[in-house]
Amino acid sequence: MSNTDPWAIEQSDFFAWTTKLDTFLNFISKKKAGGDVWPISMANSCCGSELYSTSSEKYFGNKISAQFLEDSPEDCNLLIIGGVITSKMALEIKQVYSQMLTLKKVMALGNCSCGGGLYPTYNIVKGIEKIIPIDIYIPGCPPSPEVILAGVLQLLEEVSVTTGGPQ
Amino acid sequence: MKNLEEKLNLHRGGNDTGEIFVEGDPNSINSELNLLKNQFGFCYFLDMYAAECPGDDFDFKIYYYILNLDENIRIRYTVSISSKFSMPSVTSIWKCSDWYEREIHEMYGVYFVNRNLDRLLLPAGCSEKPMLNSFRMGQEIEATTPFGPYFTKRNQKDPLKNWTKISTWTKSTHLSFKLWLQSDEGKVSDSIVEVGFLHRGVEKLCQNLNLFQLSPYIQRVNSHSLFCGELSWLMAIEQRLQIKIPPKAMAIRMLLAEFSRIWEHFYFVEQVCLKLKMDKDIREFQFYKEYITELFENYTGRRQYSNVFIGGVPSELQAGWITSCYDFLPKLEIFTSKKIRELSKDYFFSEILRSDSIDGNTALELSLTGPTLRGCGINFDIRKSFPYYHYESVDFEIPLGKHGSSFDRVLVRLEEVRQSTSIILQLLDNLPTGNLLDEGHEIVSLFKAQDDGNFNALDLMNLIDGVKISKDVSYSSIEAGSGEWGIHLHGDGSNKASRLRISPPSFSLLQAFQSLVIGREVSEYGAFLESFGINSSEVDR
Repeated sequence: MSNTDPWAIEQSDFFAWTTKLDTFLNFISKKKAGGDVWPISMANSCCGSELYSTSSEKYFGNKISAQFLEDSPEDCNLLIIGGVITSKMALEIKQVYSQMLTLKKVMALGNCSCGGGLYPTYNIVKGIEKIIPIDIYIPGCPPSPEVILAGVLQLLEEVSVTTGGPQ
Repeated sequence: MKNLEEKLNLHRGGNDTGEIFVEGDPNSINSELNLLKNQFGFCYFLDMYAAECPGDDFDFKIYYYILNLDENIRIRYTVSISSKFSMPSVTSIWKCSDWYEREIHEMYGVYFVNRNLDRLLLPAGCSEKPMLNSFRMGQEIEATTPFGPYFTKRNQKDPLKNWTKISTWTKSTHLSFKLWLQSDEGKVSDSIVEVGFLHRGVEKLCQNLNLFQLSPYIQRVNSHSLFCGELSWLMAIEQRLQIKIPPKAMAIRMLLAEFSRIWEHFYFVEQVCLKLKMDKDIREFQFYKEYITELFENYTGRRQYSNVFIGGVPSELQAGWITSCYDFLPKLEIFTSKKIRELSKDYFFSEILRSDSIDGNTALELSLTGPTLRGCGINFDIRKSFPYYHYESVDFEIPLGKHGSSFDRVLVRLEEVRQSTSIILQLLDNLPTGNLLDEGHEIVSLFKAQDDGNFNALDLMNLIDGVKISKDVSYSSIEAGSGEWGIHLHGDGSNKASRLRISPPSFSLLQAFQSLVIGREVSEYGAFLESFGINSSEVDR
């Protein structure tokens, strides 16, 4: 086959890769995330307020401003769950988790979401791992901004190192 | 008042809180409460709750707690009913009693006539009544359907119209409820607030624990404040155990409370700015808030929730702490004045926030509290009306709004920060001397021994178990950042509270928001919501 064969040039232009759909989707979502985290917060009560303090200039500098928390779960790859998980809230968490990108991490913030915390009562889900898988637990009641920041940095490292999806 | 005594079966309360007890008849409740509201000026609805009375002939007691704003008298109107009795609803007298009645129905099973009785805090499908004594502590409820039948029925009736669901926890970090809005040409035409996503059952828990174990739970009810919720509990328990804390401890607690108030006000103004995407202002507020948190941490050892215990305060104010306060407070005042000027001049900010207005009558009807009530021009502040600690002797003013707009509420908050700054400076200038703890009291002296390290653990256990509160009701309230924060404490002669009712401001504020948001622009609901200062962990408890 000569180099001037027009058919050959055309073939090399339109070559195809065959791969699994899952790998392809992971590739796309990882490319979208760019080795960075786009967090969505479902943190409430005191954990929520400490998470909010963490987003201030003192801790994050100019890198991430107060609006670092995204609004829609479809664009996010990090779910921050903090505060009490009640039976009503558990349903919502499941829903938000299913809407997120395929390559996602989940952070449980505070004693309440890690294992029920102070409240041995009727409406509480004791342990978030019963609902969705968790990548990092941050204990404390409420955890201080330094602790939250350490957790986020550890997670960032992990996101940049790992190649495959968590599933 | 004599007139009132003739008409109703009343007696004065034993404590000096200006409280009147009225035993009412459940059948004529509407006419009697109407009389109280329209003829005797008890127009402000504070709280309504139920309690079980196991030893009596009746099953439940329902308490209506109302206030006369002119004379500062509170009435506790009580009716005793059996479990089969159908209570007349008082929503025609006070619109704001709606959610209170729904809560009583789902927690106790009391039936109210002629009204929707959907689940408020619990999932719709569950049939248990968790506040009843027959419901054990370890028992769990079943969550089946997330929405109430009332909502589904309403949705089926007009299915063509467009309902928008807004899950508020994805928009901000501190509000956890669902907002359903129906819009018509860009304006909200109907709204439903679905709460209960943070319902932890604190009140049930508090009835099953020893009185001295309750502090951490009641602290965490008010999660967006440094100290205020806790102070209310400390006052309640100290009043019942007749602990008289020394003047110096009072002053230190006031300092912490005022710092907490400043923090809270900044937090909510900052949230309004966040909704309007004013990045620069947010950073400034965050800086000052963080500084206050540091001061708080330096004294108490924690960023949030102090370690102040029953009977006084644990430690002296350090000299360095006072100096840094003196350094910081003038800066804070200059900053606040600057912010008031800047925000008033900001065309974008004031134009958006000035568009709504609430008049005084509506405010009373919906039982608004705190800066939200004062923004409507009604002068009511617990610190002036029912002064506690040294608030009688410090000099401060109560800022009032004119139109009841979001802009007024923001300005009232910022002006209150300036007043709080002046209160703190006055307290630091005239700090009383003396003890930090009420050492004459048996329990407090043992606490002190525990703190010093020489105590017998068994003694302490026995003593704490032996502390009993009398068979009586008391109410103690403070002015927290978003309004009146009260605790009703019922004793039955044992070492546990037979009923502990927490009545936080956000409950009525969120309920009021549900009806006030109607007619507003859909795009501006966020700033409107934040200007109320609602904290959903208080609403759900």
